[in-house]
Amino acid sequence: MSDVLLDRVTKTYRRRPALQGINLRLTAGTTAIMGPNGAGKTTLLRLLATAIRPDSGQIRIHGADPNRPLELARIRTRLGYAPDGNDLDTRLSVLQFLHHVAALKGLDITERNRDIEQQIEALGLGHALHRQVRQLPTGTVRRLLVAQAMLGRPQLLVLDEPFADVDHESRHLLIDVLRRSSDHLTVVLAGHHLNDLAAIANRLVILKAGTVAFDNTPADLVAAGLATTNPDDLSPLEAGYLAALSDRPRPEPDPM
Amino acid sequence: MTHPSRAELRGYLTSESSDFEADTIEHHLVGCSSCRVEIRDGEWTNRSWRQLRTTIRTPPRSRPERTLVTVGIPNHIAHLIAASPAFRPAWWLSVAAALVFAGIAAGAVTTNPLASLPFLTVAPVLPVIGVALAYGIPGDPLTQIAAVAPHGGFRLLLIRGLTVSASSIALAVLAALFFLPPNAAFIWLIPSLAATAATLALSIRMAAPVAAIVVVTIWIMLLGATTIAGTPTDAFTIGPHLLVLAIAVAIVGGARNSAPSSAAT
Ligand SMILES: [Zn+2]
Repeated sequence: MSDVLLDRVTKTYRRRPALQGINLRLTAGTTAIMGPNGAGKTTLLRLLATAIRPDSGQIRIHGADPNRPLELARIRTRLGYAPDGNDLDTRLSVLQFLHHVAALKGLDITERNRDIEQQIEALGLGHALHRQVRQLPTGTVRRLLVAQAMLGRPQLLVLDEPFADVDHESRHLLIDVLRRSSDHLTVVLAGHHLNDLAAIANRLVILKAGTVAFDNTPADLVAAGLATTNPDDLSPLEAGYLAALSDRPRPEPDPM
Repeated sequence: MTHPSRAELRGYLTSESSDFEADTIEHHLVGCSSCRVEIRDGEWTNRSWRQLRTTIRTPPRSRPERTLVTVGIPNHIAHLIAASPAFRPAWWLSVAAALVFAGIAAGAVTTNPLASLPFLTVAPVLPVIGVALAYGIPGDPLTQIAAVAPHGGFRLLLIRGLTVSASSIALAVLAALFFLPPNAAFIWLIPSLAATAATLALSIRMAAPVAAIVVVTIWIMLLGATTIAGTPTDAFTIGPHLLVLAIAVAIVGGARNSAPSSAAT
């Protein structure tokens, strides 16, 4: 059984279609969602995080239907969600922030301490415990957002732009943590950084105007890039990405 | 280049240095690989980590939070009710708004009982709307995280609405004791206390938004009945009955359904 299933999912904002009949089956491991701005990445992530509902189509997360209230509650106890956090503006300190999110997730005191400790160590936040979140550099905020998502041992981790504007150290830490977690949980992340995402994902999904333009392994994208005539001296990965987004007809990957 | 001392590095590692010192050290670490190695592999970092662990496990708890835990409220709920100082401005804003509403309602209704109708219609939901406006910064990442957390979203709104109603009632009663007019302002806050408590109680059996719709529907129907009878303010006596009914439903439901009560939001 697949862990996450989307069946002909559509979502429209004020008559502008954001997603048009998306079919996806995701299993354990890391899936990177890519595509230009406005292609529907954030909408897709918000659907998986149960923050919004589709206009039509079905979603199943570990067999549960987010449209049914009791199943939704079950999904949410096993969900970690990190929205795009550019404007995380709170007076909470790092430690207060983590305790607050742990309380929102309903963790008891033992789980709370255990998980917070573990995430602070894994994501190198120990030096910033008492600093206000709003004053942290972007890289540290991104690490904090991933740390809070990991609280409560989720089965599904949904991360929007975890690498945007991060420094070198933060990027290494994040890649390391995400690599280690992908063996036991389903990670879905969106971003722009082709090389970073290809390095940690075992699957790439490229969205184009609300539809799936590519859905396969990074190696397949490289192969597709090598197969194109490449006048601009792009890396095979970049050439593959551009080919997937171009209008030329190409063999459709079987959606099922 | 002058390297930070071991004591300074340790202070940084255990979050004991000031923000300014931490910034300085962080800046230094970016450009100094030997200090990075020292901080990562130094034999003293284990000891620092043990110290850090103590800090993490004993976060400062406010007196209200400790009191709530003592009287048997689960840890995570107590934490959300007491909140941290960072949320206090929003809390005071909500309480102030509730008190202003109660004051205006009590002042306006003394002469004509039918004038109470618009106030009675909104009384159960107004404090919760106030809370939503005061706390919720739409699009803020923390709001988005809370919205999909098991105890976030609508449940968190109800928990906060309940504490705001209860605190406002306490303050209004206190004001009445000191003969601050209008005396009966507090009764205008009882419908919201009853409605939020009833919704939370019912949410053990059904999705919280459905519970809210049930409670508001019952309130409007009963208010309609008392208005037709010519005495809309009789609706005040309904609030407590509604609450008792909901608690009974919750207890019966909770007993039959002793599985985790993590009701949907
Ligand atoms: Zn140095």
